[in-house]
Amino acid sequence: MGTFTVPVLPYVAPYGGASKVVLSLADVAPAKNICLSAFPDENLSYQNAKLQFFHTDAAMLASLGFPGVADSRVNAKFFCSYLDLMATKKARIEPDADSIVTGATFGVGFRMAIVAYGMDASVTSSFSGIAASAKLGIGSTSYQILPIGGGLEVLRTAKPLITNLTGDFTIETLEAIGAVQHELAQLYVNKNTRMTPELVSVDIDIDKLAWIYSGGKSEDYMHILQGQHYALQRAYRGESSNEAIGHGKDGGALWPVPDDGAAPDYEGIVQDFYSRILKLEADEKPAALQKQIQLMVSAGD
Amino acid sequence: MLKLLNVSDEKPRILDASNGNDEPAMYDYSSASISSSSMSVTAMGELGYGDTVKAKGSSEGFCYVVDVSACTKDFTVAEGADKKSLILTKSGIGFRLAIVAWGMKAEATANLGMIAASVETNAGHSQIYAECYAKDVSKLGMIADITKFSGRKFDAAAIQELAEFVSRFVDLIASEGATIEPTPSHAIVLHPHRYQPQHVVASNNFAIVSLDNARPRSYLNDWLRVSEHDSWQQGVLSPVVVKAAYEAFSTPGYNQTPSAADTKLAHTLRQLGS
Repeated sequence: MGTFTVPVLPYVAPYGGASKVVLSLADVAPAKNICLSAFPDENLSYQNAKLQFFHTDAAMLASLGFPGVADSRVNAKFFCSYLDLMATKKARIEPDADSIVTGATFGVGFRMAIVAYGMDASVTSSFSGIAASAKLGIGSTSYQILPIGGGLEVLRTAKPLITNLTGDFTIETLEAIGAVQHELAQLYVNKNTRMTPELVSVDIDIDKLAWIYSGGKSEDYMHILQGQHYALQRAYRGESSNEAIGHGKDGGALWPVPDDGAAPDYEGIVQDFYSRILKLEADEKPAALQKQIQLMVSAGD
Repeated sequence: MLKLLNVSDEKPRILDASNGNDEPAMYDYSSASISSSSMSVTAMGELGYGDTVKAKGSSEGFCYVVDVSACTKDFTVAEGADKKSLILTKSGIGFRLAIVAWGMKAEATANLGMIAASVETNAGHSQIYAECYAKDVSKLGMIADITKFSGRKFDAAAIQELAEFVSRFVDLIASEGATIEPTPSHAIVLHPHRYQPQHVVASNNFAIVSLDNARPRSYLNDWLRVSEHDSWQQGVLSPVVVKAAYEAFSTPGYNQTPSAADTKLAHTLRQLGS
């Protein structure tokens, strides 16, 4: 079906018996399936340079490397956001049959966390609104900057911003961002500048992911959602693998019906759910596993 | 979560360090940052400023640590004492100001500029404790003068001088950084919840239920914040797996509301096996 992109922390290290593991993906698949053998090509130019504004929460800011930027003791409602000012390029990636990671984007630039206190929601929807309010003395702000990737030249470009960090995020800060943006553009237009880009996001192959999640029974994520949901519900009702499959074949419990003609291996997906995920024999009832099954069934309710 | 390390410690608390990078490049400073973190008294203590804070003896105190640093791109990986978390230790050079402010309103402490303004207008008190760090601090040259800040109050003049030091520091890194050896200074604590097939099923089920209720993917954050859902707060639900399921439903945006067709599809799917 294709790929989807997820932002990751730049840390790639040996983990869980594999080398070059994208640590941010440790909960997504086994270590050998989340390896990344990629490096940005020095000759490749930066394809994408932009300034983006994101709304987020304090926990996300902490995980992005800004702990303690939002101070909950300041007695006012606060809004968290961040700005990415970044030039990115896709990395060459070595083909790896096991890995779900099929693409990697490296970037160089800055990420700026902005916290606005005591401002109306209508002005916090854009960074210029926040800057204008701070300038007018409505509410207060704090902000921090984290360089993404770098190299000595990049440090110099950020100087106007980092020497100003003790104050509010105002119109003047926006002017400084504009100046830094220009300096940064000069750097990546000039390919001779030494810059070290850093991993910012990876592309994940959803078909390979489905293959791992179904124990090698299907490459269609929708089919595993259907098959595993069916199996989960039957297990919740205390049925063994054999009973669940028999029940499905009888047509008594809405066995998923293929809509594109190709009959998916639902039987295989259900068997895999019981044997690999619940670790049960074909005729073993899941009575002892009700607590774990309950945790899966009621997620989101 | 990024943590500052106590740079006075002989060794950071690491069980077994191995080099996380194949190419050791000494003194290649790739990131410089300035951060001001508000901290609890305990956290200040861990950084070696415990006596400082106690001396003030005020429960109304606000503690800040301004850390101006440059780190090399190399890091070491170690397993945390809980056998679950990973500790990435980065080495760097730089300086820190610990600022303790008291006797001022909480509203006036949103950023350091406001604290300095309060001090300047005698609306509160403050004291600075300064230190610089590197394997050999004498290599830091004029940056070592930052220690003269210790004992001063954090007022407008201090902010002005701090900005000068930041500027000098950036110049120093850019001109002589390659020859200054760093010291372990920052730790990033990661909690990579290990892959578990049951957690994937739970995450997929979360997505199906949310789509059935026409909720965007961002709902995961709200749902996890509800205290009754604490069984799921220990990394059971993976945002990436939830995203994969939303992708399968062609609802990729973080704040995108699922279409009527997707909601219907999720509703039908949810009946399976019931």
